[in-house]
Amino acid sequence: MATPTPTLAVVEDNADNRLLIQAILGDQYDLVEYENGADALTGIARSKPDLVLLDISLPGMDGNEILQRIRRDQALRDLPVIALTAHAMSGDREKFLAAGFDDYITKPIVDETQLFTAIRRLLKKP
Amino acid sequence: MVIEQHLVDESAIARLRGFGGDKLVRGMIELFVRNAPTKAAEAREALDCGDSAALRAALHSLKSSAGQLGATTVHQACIAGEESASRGELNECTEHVRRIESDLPLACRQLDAIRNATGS
Repeated sequence: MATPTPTLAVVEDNADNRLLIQAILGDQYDLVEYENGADALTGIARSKPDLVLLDISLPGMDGNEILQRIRRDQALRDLPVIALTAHAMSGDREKFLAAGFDDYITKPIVDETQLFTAIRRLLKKP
Repeated sequence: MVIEQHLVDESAIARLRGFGGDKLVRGMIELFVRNAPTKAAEAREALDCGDSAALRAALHSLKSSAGQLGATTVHQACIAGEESASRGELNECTEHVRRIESDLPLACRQLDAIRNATGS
């Protein structure tokens, strides 16, 4: 029996970034896109994905708040979540990992391998 | 004769082409040319109103898109402006917003030219 294609939730308000992520990942994963945190939390609770790509700077509820809500939810707390951020300041990686993200990818995305490596590593976790 | 400065790093376009071919390049440029002027106007409005949080948000959003498409001077101005805005240094932001306002129209024209030269 074929292995089902993993589903990734992409939470990103910029349409161009969603288009880019679709182009990079769309052939290998089923992507479900959300433009804001409220929609993402509702959608993720309704249909749990295998992994979340979560932009940090979102209008309204930001990525850190969304992550904390995911981690407080018994049904979702083990969900792998990768931070997608254009912050790229010194020390950011440690800060995001300490906040509970499983990995951290900076924008602009210049190396698709880094993204694939992070996703594959987290999807393999038991 | 006026020599036009190149404001778009074509290696970024080549990278996008590698990610998703001409279709992605055209789509990304279309979205940028449509949305970036609005973001720049939001940054100007926020600066004039002294709203550092709104300014930071507008510059952050524009930064990501400009960086991905290789609009280098716009990208750099967004980085500097966002950092200044996050410190509440709005006087410093004035120069960076002006740079965005001066460079963005030309960057958009150059991106449009790239899009028009990109096969369908």
